Amino acid sequence: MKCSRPSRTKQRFGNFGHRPAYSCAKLFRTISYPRFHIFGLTKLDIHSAKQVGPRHGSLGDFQGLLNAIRSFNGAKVARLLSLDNEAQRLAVRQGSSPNGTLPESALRYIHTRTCGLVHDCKEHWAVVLRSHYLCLAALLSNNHDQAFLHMADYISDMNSIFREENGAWMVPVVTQTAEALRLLANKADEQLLSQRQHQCRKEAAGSWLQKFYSTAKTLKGNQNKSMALLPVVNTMFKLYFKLNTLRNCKPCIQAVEHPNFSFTSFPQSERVTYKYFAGRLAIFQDQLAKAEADLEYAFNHCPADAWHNKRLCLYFLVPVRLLAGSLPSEAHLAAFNLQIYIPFVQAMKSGSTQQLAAALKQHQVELIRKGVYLQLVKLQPIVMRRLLKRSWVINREGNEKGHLLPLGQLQKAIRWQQMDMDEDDVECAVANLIHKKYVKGYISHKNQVLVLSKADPFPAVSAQQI
Amino acid sequence: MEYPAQPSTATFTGWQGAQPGFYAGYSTPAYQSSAYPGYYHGHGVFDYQNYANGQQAAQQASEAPPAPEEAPPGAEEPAQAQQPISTAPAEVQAPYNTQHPWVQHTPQQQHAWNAYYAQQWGQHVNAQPGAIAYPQGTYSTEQPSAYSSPAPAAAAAHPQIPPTWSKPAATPSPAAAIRPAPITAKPAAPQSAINFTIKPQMAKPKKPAATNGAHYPNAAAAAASGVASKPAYTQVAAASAAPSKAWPPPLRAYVERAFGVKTTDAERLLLNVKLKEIITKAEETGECWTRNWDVFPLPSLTEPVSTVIPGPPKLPEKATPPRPAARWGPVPAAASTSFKSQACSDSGSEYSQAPGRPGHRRSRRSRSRSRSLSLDPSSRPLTKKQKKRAAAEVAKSAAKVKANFTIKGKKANKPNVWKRATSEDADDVVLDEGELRRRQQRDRRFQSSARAAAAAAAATIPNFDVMRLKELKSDAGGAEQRFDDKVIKGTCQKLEKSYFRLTAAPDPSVVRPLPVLKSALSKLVASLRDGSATYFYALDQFKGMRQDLTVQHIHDEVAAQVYEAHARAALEYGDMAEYNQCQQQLETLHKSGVKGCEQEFLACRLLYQSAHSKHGEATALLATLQAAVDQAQPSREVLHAISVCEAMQAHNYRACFKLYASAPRMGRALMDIAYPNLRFDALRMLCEGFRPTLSVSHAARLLGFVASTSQPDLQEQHQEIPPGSSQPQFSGKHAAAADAQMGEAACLAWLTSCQAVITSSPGAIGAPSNSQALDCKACVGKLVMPQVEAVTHGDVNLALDDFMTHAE
Repeated sequence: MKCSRPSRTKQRFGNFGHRPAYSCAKLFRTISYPRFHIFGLTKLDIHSAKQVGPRHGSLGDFQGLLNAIRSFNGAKVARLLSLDNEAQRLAVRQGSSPNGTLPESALRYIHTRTCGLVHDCKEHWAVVLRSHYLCLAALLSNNHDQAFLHMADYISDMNSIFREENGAWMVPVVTQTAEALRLLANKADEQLLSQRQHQCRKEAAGSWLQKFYSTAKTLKGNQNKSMALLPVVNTMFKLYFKLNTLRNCKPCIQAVEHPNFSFTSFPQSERVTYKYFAGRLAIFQDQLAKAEADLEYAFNHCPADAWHNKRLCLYFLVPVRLLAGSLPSEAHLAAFNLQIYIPFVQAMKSGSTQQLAAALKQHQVELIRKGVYLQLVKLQPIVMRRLLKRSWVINREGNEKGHLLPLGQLQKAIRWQQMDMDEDDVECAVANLIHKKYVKGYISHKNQVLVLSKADPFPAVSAQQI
Repeated sequence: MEYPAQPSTATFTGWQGAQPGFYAGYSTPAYQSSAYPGYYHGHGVFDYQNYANGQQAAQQASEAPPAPEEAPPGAEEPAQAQQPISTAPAEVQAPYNTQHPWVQHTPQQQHAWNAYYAQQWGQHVNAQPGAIAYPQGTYSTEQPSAYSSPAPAAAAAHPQIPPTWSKPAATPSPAAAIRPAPITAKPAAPQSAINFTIKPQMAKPKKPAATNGAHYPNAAAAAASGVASKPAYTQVAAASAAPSKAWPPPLRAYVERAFGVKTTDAERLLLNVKLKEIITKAEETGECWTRNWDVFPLPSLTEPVSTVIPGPPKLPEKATPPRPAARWGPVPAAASTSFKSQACSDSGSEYSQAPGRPGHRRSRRSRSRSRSLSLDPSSRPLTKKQKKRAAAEVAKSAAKVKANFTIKGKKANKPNVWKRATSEDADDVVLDEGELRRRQQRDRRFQSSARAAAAAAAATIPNFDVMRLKELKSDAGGAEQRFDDKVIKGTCQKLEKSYFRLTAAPDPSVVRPLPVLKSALSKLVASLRDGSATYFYALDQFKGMRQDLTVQHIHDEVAAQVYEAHARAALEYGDMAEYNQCQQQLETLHKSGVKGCEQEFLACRLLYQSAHSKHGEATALLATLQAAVDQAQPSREVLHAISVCEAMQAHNYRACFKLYASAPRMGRALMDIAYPNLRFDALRMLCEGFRPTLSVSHAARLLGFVASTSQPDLQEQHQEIPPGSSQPQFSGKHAAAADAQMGEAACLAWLTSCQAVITSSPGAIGAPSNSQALDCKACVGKLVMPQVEAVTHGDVNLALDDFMTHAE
């Protein structure tokens, strides 16, 4: 409450200081209706022209918006341009028609007022503001597709402003617009899908976001423009992951992981988001070490109360860790509602190839959707190693030739698990383990026996390079 | 936005001053005969409501009372339009007592002005050559000083202006300026003479006036009568009166509403342009009368107000206004009832007129003209043909009077390379036929087919392409002219058609319609099935079919069948490039809901991507897998492909070999891609896993050279041969041999090619195959992946016979 009062006062009395705004309105009044123009016009026309007064109820705090633009107050512009701004929504809802458009007079008013600004990019701003209000009006009438189109209308203008301004004050506006564009594209696609149309607004949104991205990357005029890069990249990640066009992410990763890029100067939320997506991407590209590092970073830096986000990080971290040979406790998995991995952990502990196969089969669809299925398939040799080790331990009991393991023993164990493998399959599986250095030793085909190394026959899985 | 440096800016400001006199000259008689209050109020901007009123007044001239106080002398009655010679002076006078910087002008009038310029300039040059001294480096392409300065200087004076924009600026060309001088030696009378002498259109192969006339009887009648005998003047009036008829009252109210609020002159200018676009569009789409103009949104002035300042005008980046049809060339005159299409039309040259006018303010006028052209996006892109014609007419008329001036003009022009390149001057007139043809041929070589055709349309016999282009141009729908708008319908009935890459617009007479394509496909599939067709023949046929599908925009089951059959045939032969093309098309086709063998090709995609997953296809594989599990009932092929993915990820080579054996349909062809690598990796694995030796016979089994006994026989499961292939199940390059002896021999050969160390055990004399064994320890680290012998022509499968027959 304390905060709001001074600001309100300032707002009330601040108008005295806004000389240019006043003169703008004055200019508008004097120049906009030259006398000669009244000739040939009907009374109605003049009446409608007069409606374009300096104040327009349906635009909310339009004057505040203009003031913020003129004073380069990026945070305030972002706040007022936000589609979630309740005050603005209320004003536009009252002023717009039910079919989601604004009265012509309001649009005219926006244009004239904005063009009256003393600002380098006023023409761009005129487009931005006009389309923004149309977008808001369409959004409020639940026409998300139309709202998206209106927003897409002004992205390139906003990008021009961002590029041509020498300051970096547009960063909050750009980041917020990028995110809003993505959300709107999602909703527009839902709407289109419900109307059985096959257009994809998300793709369009992706290409618009590319514009912001390239501007933020070129840093024209101000180094601080790079502060928009990571948020925009994150938005693009979200979009591309949804679209499943992951190859578009590659240039973004390269830009962010460039040594000159000061990753640490970004807020933690952006860093965590970035690392989460970069880690997921690394899994898909089989860069498991990078994936582990990134996802761990994301998990560790996630606020403790962001349970859902932590769970998401773990969802992808657990398979990577399993492949690296470290098993999470079941309690830990249960705490994050990740019971899906429990059978995998059990299979790895017991060496049950059957359980692994069953778990893979059971969760195939979900795991494929999440993109970790093919990684979990790679657990097969590790489970086989466990089985081999267990049969060796059993066979070693009271056996003077403890380093020898008849392949028949192993096959018996496999048969026990109702897995269909013939001698050749078993030989191949064991040879594969040796090849992957999970097992030290060799197969003597003639004797049908696995000869294990006497020193450390089963090196730790974590010691192996994944 | 950046503008040229100081001097040119100075000249630009000069333009504004030059405006009024120039534009006023374009007013039509109909326009002048109008009586309405706004016309002479002199606020400096032409507005639509007035123009509309004026048109209306012209229409109802008989009923409408003449404006008593302000009507210009000699413009009281539209009937005067019938008497061009007598009206001409009035027309000349009118501009000078009005102050209209922006007046609607039609191309007819533009061409008239070309001629007019020609005279004025010619006169000027004759009288006092180089009298007007322009400061060096000013924007003065049309100025006499530019003749003496070389082209690059002129270009350098305004480096910011892209050539496309500066083109119209230079249209009143120097050549035209000099040549017609003799006409202007007697300035009073010859104007009407020119009107009658210039009939360049008569000689050319004509556009379909008759067909257009059906839609626009007025204009067609006017055109017909104009060609016959009536003075050009009459037709201008008729043509410009035509659009007014198409203006419903709501539209006029709309225009009035639009002009009701706009304040500054700049905005009015912009509004002018925008309204013109809107109305033209509405007229083209025929919505003029149907649209609810009362609720139609007013044009938004998104364009910056500063466009008033001359310079490269900025187009709004998004929501680009529809390009005029003139982008690809002119619109047939009779078809155009709107301002814009009139402005774009080249038919104006038929009605060329040169209003007599005192010779002062020429330079300013010319500049203001170029300015207006650059400001008005609708009239901006004068096409090459159009300009050529205009220039050619002027030059021709001049040439008729005195030929030696043409030569002079050409001489004067010669050093000015830039201008020649941009301004489309009248050089062509002095070119002989051979040179013209050569130029056209060269054009055709370097331009896109469409533009080439447009260029060819000017002189060559109207072949199919030209007709088609004209058709395209004549009904240019709102948005940018695209060929997609027009879908052709083939008429060819041949079942066989060789592929030929298009170099021009497709000709319906050689394009097969859907039913013919269907039977062609079944014929081809049958001949592929019984083996009577070679792949080369099939490839040629398939590509021809695909082309026919593409140009007819067929995206249905038949298209899917063609692509599927071609994909199978390509896989059988091993033509991965063609396969990928087909696969890509099939992916989009199936995604858009076309029925076909989706699952089979989804499986193919999976196999292909898993084979290439190490080379950047991993994420794509992921996406495809997701699509695969989304299938409600995965088919045998998809299930097989998923298990192949798993086996390859887990490096389960043995499972891979087994899956190869059981691959349905074309699966083996795709697994063949990864097979050599898999087998080599398996060999390395065996060498590390086994000690001391591994018999070749056993290795042959482990490496998939010999079929294992438990292998299911798929041959009997489906006998049906899929279209495009010759066998129900592709045999594959790496199929395991059923016979152990043969498999071992193949294995031995392959091992040798891998430079594996093979030892012979001494004891076994009777069984030579068993005696040989792989020395595993010796092999580790020494194995080399066998290289496939590269073929010079790139196609290992290509047999010489095939090649020769194909070459024929």
